[in-house]
Formats: sequence, C-alpha cells, structure tokens
Amino acid sequence: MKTFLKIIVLNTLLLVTSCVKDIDFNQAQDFEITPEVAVSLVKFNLDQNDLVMGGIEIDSISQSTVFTMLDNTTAQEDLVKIDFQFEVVNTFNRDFEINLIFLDDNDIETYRISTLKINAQDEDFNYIETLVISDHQEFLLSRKIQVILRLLPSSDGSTIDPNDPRTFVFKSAGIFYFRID
Amino acid sequence: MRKILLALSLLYLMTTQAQNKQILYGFDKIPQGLLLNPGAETTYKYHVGIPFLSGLSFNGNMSGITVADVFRDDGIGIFSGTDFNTKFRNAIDKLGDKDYAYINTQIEVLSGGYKLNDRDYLSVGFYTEADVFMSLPKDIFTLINEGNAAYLNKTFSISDISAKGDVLGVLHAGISRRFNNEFTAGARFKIYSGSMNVTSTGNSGTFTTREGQDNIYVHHLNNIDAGVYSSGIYDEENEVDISAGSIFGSTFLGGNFGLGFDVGLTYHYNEQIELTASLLDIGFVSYSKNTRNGTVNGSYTFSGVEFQYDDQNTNYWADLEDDFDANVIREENRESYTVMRPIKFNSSFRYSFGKSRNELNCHDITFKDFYDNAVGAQLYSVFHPNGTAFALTGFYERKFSNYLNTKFTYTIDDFSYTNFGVGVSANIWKLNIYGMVDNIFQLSDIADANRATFQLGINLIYN
Repeated sequence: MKTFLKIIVLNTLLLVTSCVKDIDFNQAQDFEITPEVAVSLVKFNLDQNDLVMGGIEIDSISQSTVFTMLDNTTAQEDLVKIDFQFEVVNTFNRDFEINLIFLDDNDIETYRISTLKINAQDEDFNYIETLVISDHQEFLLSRKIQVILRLLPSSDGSTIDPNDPRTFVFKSAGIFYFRID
Repeated sequence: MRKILLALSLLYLMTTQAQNKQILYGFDKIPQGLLLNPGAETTYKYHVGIPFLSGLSFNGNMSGITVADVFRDDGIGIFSGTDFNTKFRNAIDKLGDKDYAYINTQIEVLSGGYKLNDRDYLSVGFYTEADVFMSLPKDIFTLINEGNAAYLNKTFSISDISAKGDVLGVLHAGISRRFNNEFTAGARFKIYSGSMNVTSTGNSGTFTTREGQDNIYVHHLNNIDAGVYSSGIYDEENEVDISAGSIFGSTFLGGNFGLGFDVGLTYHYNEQIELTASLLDIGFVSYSKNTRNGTVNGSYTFSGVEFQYDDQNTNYWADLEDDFDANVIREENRESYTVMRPIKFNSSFRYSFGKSRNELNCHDITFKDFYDNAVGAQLYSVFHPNGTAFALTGFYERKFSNYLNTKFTYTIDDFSYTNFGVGVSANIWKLNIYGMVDNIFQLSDIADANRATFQLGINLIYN
C-alpha cells in the first residue's frame, strides 16, 4: 500500500507541477509578416518600323491598360512601399523619354514616375524609384497605367532609317513591400 | 493573421496534456485496450465504463519546433536579442522538409463489455474523436512571410501543403475470441458519423520567380494540381457555419456515414513470451453534407503586360485575366467525396519474468498473472498524408499487487528522442482507475515539448 501511495503521490505531483512556463501569447499582438513581392509590370519591344509611319517619325506614342492589382484589401491596407524597377535597351542613335503615369477610374493622375531619359545607344539603362505609400495615399486609387514614349529630335536633324534595324526594349517590375498584421 | 497563429498555438497547448496510447497498449487488461487491439485478452466477466470518464485521451505533437520557440516570454527569446517576429522567422528556419503537427483526441461516451462464453468477449461503445494533421511546409511559410523577392530561382512546391482534419463519432462493436491458451484474435466493426472534415492532400505543382529575358522577372506556375475539400463548415450560402452544438450533435449517426473495422491478435510463444499486433481504422467516411470543394489545375508563365503600341484599343489586363483563367482552371463544387481513415498499426513483444505467488492461485489461468514483471518493445505507426510515421517504445511493467500495476516507457518517434512515460492502473473493489502521462521530463514546461500526452479513465469491472 505504501508503494501504491508513493506512485499516486508521484503522479499527482507530476500533474500538478506540469505547467506552461513563461509563455506569453500576448506577443502575438506584435505579430506581422512582411512579404516583399516581386512582380513584372509592363514591357514592350519596338523597332524602327514602329517609330516611322508613312515615312514620318512619330513624336510620341502612348498606351494604357486597366489593372486591378491594388483593388483588394491587402493592397489597400497593408502595402507600405514599392520599388519600381526599369531597364531599357536602346540601340537607336536617338534620345527617348518615357513617362509612366498611374490614373484612377476617372483618368485623374494618382502618381507619375520621374521622367526616364534614355540616351542614344544606351543599352544598359537602369532606374529604381521608391514610392512610399504613406506619402502618396492617392496612389492606392490607381486603376490604370499609361506609358508614353517620346522620341526626341536629333541634334543633327537626322531621322530614323526604316531600313536600319534598331530596337528599343523596355522592361519594368515592382517590388511590393507589405506589412500584414 | 495573428489570430490564426494564436489559435494554432492554443490548439496545440490545449491538447498537450494528453495520453500516449503506447502506454495503454497491452497494459493490465484495461478495457480500453480493446480499442487498441481487438484481439487483446480479457479476464473479467463484464465491464462498464463510467460515461464520459472511461476513456479520455488527448495527444498533441509538433515536430521541428515548439510553442516555446515562438512564445517564450524571456525578453530576448531563445535566440538572443530577438523580437517576436524574429523568433517566428527563426522558428520557421528550424523546420525541416517533413515537419508536421498532429493532434488526436478521443472522448469515450459509452462503453461496456460482456463475456459471452468461455471464449468470446463482446465489447461495444461510442466515442467521439477529433483528428487533425497539418504539414508545416517551411518553404510555403517562407514565401508567405518573406515573399518571393529574395528568393529568385527558388522553386516553391505546393506538394508540401497537406492538411486533414476530422471530427466524428464512432459507434463500435467487437469480439475478442480465445481460440486456445496461446492464441486470441478479435475484430471490431465501426460505424463512423463524420461531423466535420477538411482535406487537402496530394497537392502538386510549383511556383518559381526567375530573372527574365524579355522582362526583369518571369513567374512560373508549373503543373498546379491542388484541391481543398470540406464538409460541415459552410452552409448553403457559403457562409461559415460552425458551432459546438452542430459539430458534436451530428457525431451520433447524424453526420456523414462511414464504415471501418479493426483487427488484432495475441499469441503466446511460450509461457513468458507474448506477441501482439493490431490494425485500426481500416475504413472510410463518405462526406456529402454541407460540402464545399475547390480545385486548381494548370500551368502559367507571366512576365508582364506587353504593350503593342498599335492602333488597337487593347484591354491588356482583361486579356491577361482571360488567358490566366483559360490556363489555370479554378473550379468549385459541392460534390460528395470520400476520405480514408488514418490507419494505425500496433505490435508488441513482451517477455514476462519474476513469478509471483499468484501462480499458486489455480482459479486464474492466464499467463500474465503468474509474473510480476515484464519488459518488451512496441512498434506503432500511423499513415499520414505525408507518409508513414513510426514510434518505437521500450517498456518495463511492474505489478506491485493485484490492485496496482505500473508501466514505464521510453519512446522514440518523429517528435522526441527523450520521451519517458509512466502509467498506473489501480483496481480497487470493482473500480479500475488508470492514468498515463507521457514525456514526463517535459511536464514542467509543456510549451517546450514537441510531444506531450495524457490519458485517464474509470471503469467498473466484474470478475
């Protein structure tokens, strides 16, 4: 019987002393995840025939599209910052400018990337622009993106030769920084 | 997000005071041992379990990390100089490729048994069971937590995502037949009543972001084949409709129907050596009530929206969405589906020694009661969605009297290499009271344990 009592006492002690030491679930209040999401955005690839129409150089061309990447709760509430990345390969011996503009549903501008100035025959153009959402809350209203390409006049008056193969490659992406709690 | 994290952690901690069925298996002819081996021997005329108290078992396991890894309130964490989110990230880093969490709880509502004749013992009962398996996919957690930007060229596999959860009631009846003094075998027939189920297993496919040729990045979804099946969670309006009443109310023949069986045997090689084995829950549940299923199939490569600068007024975004929808097929349905029960296997080798004076007591003809001591080994395995998990147990059993038996175990499994357990079975008058504790050296700090279990029960036994 003594042995029986000892074992009962031992088991009782084990159970009574069993506990969760120094655990604080309130720490979960501080929990947040901070994913950094890389997403390709707009790209295009032009040659000399895209810039000469009817034998005449065009001054600028523009294209836009609707996008709904920001039309969700996560983007609206948890997007903190975006690093826009641009790469251009320009084999033309002409300078270009690119404007990338974000618009809302009413075509009102919500954000404009600084004008990209691409020099003639710059085949390694790189540019990164950081957009901090708290400084540009209106950006979250963006539902369209417009890209305007301007062909700048040559300094010597020369024009693009449709028979001289050249390319203009534009690449863009964004790294979207979220803080989700 | 933090609510999900907290709920998962609390769920684990709530179930860490739990039982180890390796201790119960083959121990002191406790009636609930018949649920682990329907071919176990019995020595009594009949038994009645105290309703809701005859078999309470909880079993919580998490491999790779512990709750304390994340929630230890030490100011600096186990990783010096870290805040909570860093501790969380470090905990993810500790995970291996195959880590998982597994929780199983059972509450025996009714149980009883009766010796039909010299050979057969009939046992019946009803218990409720919750069984949850969830892989802890390190790569997917990393993708969610950190995103893809820092992991260019890394392939994230969704085959790492695997989860299965059941709440069900089990009505059962089994017979253990003693064919001769050496051999006893038995079987148990089960009717499952599934109340709630979530299943997402057998997923495949990968997601990769690489540096691209025609744009800065190119994203690949390759051969995605994934699905989530659920029953008893959503109502007809696809609103979550879960209440304790509805969950447990339909565990008794009111839910989704299923059938299964257990088989087992006991064999005495000689007077001192005993071998046993059992297979449990060979069966299925067919879910048809309040089902809601979703599947995704397909491949897609995306490197950005390509402006054409033509005269067409192209809606690039709509075209992109249409193209994605055409290539990555997402479907939702309310079709019935069938889920196999997680099959469990038990086996044991037992060597008894140290004859007691019971040998002189001729009215008891069982082998076991001739000996006060036994040592042996047990092998347990359960078939998870991630594969088969094993547990190897060594044990020493000591009978102090006809009233008191004890069992001490050491178990190695996916969760721990330092798992020592102890069980006590006391027979006082007609009452059999048993209690078992696993991982006893972690009891003072369960949050830091990968595995902790507890089990108890009370029966009336009539010899």
